[in-house]
Amino acid sequence: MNASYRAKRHTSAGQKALALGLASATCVGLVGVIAVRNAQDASAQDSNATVELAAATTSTGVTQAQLDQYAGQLAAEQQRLEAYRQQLVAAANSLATQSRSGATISKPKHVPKKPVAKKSTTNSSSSSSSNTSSSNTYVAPEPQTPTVQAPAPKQFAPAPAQQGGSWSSGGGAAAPAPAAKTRASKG
Amino acid sequence: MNSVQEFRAMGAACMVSVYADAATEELANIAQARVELLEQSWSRFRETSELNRLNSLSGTGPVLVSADLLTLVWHMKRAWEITRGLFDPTMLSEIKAAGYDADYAAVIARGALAGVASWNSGTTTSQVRSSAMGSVEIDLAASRVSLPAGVGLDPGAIGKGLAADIIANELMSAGARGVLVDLGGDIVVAGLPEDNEAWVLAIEDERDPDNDDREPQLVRFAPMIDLDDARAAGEFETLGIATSSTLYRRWAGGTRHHVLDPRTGQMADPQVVQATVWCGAGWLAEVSATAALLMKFDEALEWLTQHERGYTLMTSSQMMTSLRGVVHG
Repeated sequence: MNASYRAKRHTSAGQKALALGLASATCVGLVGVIAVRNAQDASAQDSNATVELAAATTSTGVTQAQLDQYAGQLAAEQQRLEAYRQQLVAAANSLATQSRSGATISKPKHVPKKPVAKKSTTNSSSSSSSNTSSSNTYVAPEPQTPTVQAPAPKQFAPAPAQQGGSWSSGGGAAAPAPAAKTRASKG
Repeated sequence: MNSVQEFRAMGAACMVSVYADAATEELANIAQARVELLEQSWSRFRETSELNRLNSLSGTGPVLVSADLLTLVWHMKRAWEITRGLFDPTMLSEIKAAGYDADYAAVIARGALAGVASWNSGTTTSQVRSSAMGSVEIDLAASRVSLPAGVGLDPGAIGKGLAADIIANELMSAGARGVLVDLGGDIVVAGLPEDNEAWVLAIEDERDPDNDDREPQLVRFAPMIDLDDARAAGEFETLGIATSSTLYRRWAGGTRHHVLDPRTGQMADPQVVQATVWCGAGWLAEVSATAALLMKFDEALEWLTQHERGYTLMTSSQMMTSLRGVVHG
């Protein structure tokens, strides 16, 4: 595997990782609004597509005003998550840009065997090419197109237990300073 | 580079520490913003939260929810299954009935919980409460959740851990080399701190908080998978550690605490007074600690070992710690 391939693979996977982390946080709110609105618009024609509206017209007590309020809430959340996504992507790009400029000096052992051409970092679609930045370059994910399908939630499953060794029991006479302290705190 | 952001959220003191080649302050600020977003979606103490909206629509059929809320509900149900019902987020009505219907500080301030002296009176442990969690329906494809009529969800004992998981993973995805997210004592770490081989986390013994001579248990965590490989795979090794205790958040002269037993719906009377659990995810550590608190001491030891959790269990008179990851104590 040559270095340029590896760099590209990492960049792509990095984008994928970021997209995975953000996809669920960006599109569903908008999907929700559109779905609710569509359900309302289509209520006269298609009873199967009016889950929310059907609820509004049955004995469940949900009113049109509640539906509108809920749709508005989802829309507001979508806007907040979109703003957050932009912040995170900007930070990732900033990190990639800055680390690319200095990491060659600080960590030369990670320099790819075969140099590859660098592209302007101002271009969000540029690919990373050197040392640590090969995996730290992110481009803004394409705007999420509202779809009917919502992404499944990312599952935060246990990893270290299965991988073993992550919780090593080294240590010595002198205890290292802890980075943080766990305590009970239930809000 | 390292930036540390300390703030208050989710009713608790929080801290985010980010290690990266650059932009650490920006990432730490973003983490705080993410906590706010998650709290606005998940909090039962915010009238306008999406969770409260969902709860208000119980019994109305499938309700479209955001991805964050879908994630929370999915993990709630998974946790309920893993703990065989000892973690039960459908106890909202019981918790509210006990007076715990607002942020803890507000509850204490108004003294509402002083009136729950009869909580356990007239109730025997033979009473069996039936959980509604099994009837909560989740449609991942359609991003919809159905709650049975009269059922509300309470993210207590899972929300902070899951939020820390999400934030740690997002910051690592954004390029951080090491992250520590501490949300009220529920901690998730990923990557590594700069120039260190491992994270070291301490366990606070709340049985005797004023005893300065007591040495804390320390847990050491070092990811085994190369960071670049983890980033390429989009999966980061994390350690989640959480503590559940009946020694904290007490009221009515210290005679009452916030841990309810889902099997009875009543205040728990556990042998284990403090359970600290660590494993590969914050949410799992948090619900495991809660479950362990509700088990008999020996049962908890067996269950945690069987599920490959690291742990420190404390009764009023003894303490048992797994060897997994403990470096000193």
